[in-house]
Amino acid sequence: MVFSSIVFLYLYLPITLIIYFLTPARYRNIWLFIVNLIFYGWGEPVYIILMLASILLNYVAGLFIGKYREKKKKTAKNVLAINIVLNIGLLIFFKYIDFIIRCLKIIPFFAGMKELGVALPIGISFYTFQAMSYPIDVYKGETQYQKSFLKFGTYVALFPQLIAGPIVRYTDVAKDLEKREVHVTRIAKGIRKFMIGLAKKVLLANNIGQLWDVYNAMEPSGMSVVGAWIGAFAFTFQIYFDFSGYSDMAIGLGEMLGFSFPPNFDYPYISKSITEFWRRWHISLGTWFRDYVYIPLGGNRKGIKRQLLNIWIVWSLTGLWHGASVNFLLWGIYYGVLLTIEKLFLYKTLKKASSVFTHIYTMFFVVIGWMIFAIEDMRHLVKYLGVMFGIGSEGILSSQALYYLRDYGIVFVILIFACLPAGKYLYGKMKDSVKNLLVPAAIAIVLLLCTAYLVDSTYNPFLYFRF
Amino acid sequence: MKKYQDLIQIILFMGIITGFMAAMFVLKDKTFSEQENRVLNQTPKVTVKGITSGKWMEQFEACLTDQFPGRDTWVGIKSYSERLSGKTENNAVFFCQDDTLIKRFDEPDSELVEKNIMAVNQLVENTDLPVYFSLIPGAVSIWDEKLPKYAQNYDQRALIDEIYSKVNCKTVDTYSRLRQHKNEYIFYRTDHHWTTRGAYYGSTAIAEAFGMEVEPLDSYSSEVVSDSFYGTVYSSSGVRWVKPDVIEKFIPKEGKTVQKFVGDTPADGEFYDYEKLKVKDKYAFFFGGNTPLIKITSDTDRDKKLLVIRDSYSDSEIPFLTEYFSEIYMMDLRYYKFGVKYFLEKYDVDAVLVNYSVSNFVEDKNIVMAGK
Repeated sequence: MVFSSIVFLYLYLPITLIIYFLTPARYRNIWLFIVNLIFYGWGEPVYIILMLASILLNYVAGLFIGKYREKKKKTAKNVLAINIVLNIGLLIFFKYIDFIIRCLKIIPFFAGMKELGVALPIGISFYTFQAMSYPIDVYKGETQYQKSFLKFGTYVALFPQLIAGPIVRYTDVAKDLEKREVHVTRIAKGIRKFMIGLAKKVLLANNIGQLWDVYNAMEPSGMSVVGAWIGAFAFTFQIYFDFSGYSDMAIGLGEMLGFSFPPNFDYPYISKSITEFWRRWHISLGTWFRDYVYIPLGGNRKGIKRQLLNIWIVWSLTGLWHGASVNFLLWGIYYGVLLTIEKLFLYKTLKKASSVFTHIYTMFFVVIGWMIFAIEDMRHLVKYLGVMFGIGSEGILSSQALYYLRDYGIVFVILIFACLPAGKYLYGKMKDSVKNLLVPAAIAIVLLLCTAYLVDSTYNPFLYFRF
Repeated sequence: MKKYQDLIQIILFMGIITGFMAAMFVLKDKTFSEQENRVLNQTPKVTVKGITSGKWMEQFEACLTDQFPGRDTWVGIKSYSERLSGKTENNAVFFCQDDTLIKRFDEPDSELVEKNIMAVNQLVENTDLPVYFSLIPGAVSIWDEKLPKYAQNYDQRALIDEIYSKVNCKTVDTYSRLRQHKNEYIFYRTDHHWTTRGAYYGSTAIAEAFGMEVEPLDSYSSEVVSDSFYGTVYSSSGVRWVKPDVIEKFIPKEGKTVQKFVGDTPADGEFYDYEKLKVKDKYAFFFGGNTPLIKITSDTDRDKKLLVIRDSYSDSEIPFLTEYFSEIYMMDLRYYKFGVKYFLEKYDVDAVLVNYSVSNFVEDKNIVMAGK
């Protein structure tokens, strides 16, 4: 199930919340566990089994590690190692097996292999990372092990962050699992955050996404230079508002239920360097790789050569985490290279440079990066990037580009504004009397407008009745 | 922020989502949407297999959105919102000058176009009768001046020229004839069809191609049969701010007999079906809607028999052609499954006219039947 759907907004959410609020605090985890599984099983019911297996695997590992970590350190370590292998094994099997087979087929010896056609379980990349954080943290002594299967299961399958993040670690919510504060102020705060996220996803991301669909489907040789950049910016906005909108909705839903999730985006497009960009973009993923891969590998403590190697490992993995395809690997390495350059010398220079330059520098590489991310077909990607720089393009500016600029002009202005902290700043300056009117009005308008867009997306007149 | 303000927000949010949920439970499922011209999804039956395969959830979700209270209103709100945000296009329909809605025309599937051209050529080979071919351009091409600036469409004029250059039969220049009269009300503003007036100009191009003298428009008296027609483009656009179209008729039904064929058995049919003016799809006024084969006999002095292989654009054009042909058969390849060869063996005609709108000719997969 996705948040931006009629079935979630007008059926799942009201039932879940009303029964949750009416249930006494100590039984709420049971209700949550049930609705989590319904949420997860809605699309692919068989994968509930996989989810339960993942919960059981990490629950048992946590028990063992928690019991042995003091007395038999070695046993605990072995259990952890086996657990990590199993977790990664599941992820590889369900997400990467066909990609690996496709790569192997290039070697003549393996040419006869067949792809398995495994359907990707929704959210597996997210919940595997979430669940894995638990035995590792228990081993490191950062948290107590969880005795209750129900509570641990409620955490792993928690529907708000289950399928698109943020990557919530067990330590983030360990306290909330035992006891949660649910009160009016918090619920209202959650609703406001949820509405912001819903608006980002349905009104902004889906809207500009249509423009990217147009350019993505087009043959690059028919595009003008300006057109190719319009398309690239369309995707740049789409991915940000889609992803951060989803995170906002998750955080808001968490608040309504009494959970505090870590923030995931912090105005990434105002960054003045790539280093800063990655501190503001998908924060929970960046810190996950930092804490569970980069630092265990030695981080920056073993000399610059080792540090650079670690950076490269982390970024190749970050790339692949986003999808089982060569372009994602390439995208990760692209950032590995950029971050290496900044680490070696550029970052210091950027700090002294004018902010106009540093903003343009950052967005330039971010936008190019998104094209590597968005276009899976290498030949198409090379052609598209070429057109962006005038190679093989159909002129600088075409009437087609003008058409889309005119049609999406206002939308682009709104998108740029929404990328900046200006709205938050204005809201902070607002008088309470204005807020008291504005906030309820905004909730109603956003909810109704989003409903209109969601209903329209399934509006499908059958016109061939009479031709 | 004060606590009761928070409470207001919670009540508002929960009120809206539970309110619509309650409405969905209370309201009965609708079976058909006039606006969308299709049967709506109904609540699926619960089966173990349906649940475990996820199929039930899929159908349930489709049903929920189909049955969502006030569906047409939401669609209208969305198109308003799109216009407010500066868009000139919604659901592939352009908002044009003079309250006109025009459907976008995208690049057609060239393989299907080639197939359909081959079918026409096969038809020419299968018969010794003269074959005429007329492609009718849409408003998107004839009324291009009404489109928003820079609007992106595939060029229908060039497409007609290309298709005409590949067929081995006589072609009718409907495009130029319509273009000469582009300042008149020749297309509906809310429907993809041409108006009766547009159809008249189309019929003159055909009459000339047959070498006949054309009847001037003012030799007929016109009558408005409906002034509240909202067509298919209105439906798909979601636009609710334009005024309705007017349907006219020029040719009296006196002196014509209409027979509808089911198989080879004729039954009485309507030249004009006034009942259809009461429903949404008012264009079905002409001949009353879809039929595989219709025969129209008229009292004209000319003794000439014609087979028209056609789409729905012909419905409003054929009345004019009854002036030139004493017997006209209209064949709809989507429903007539015997093949044209069979027809020509069985029925007696002097000529064949293939008469399609450009958009249907390049999209319809049934045209292969013309060569069979």
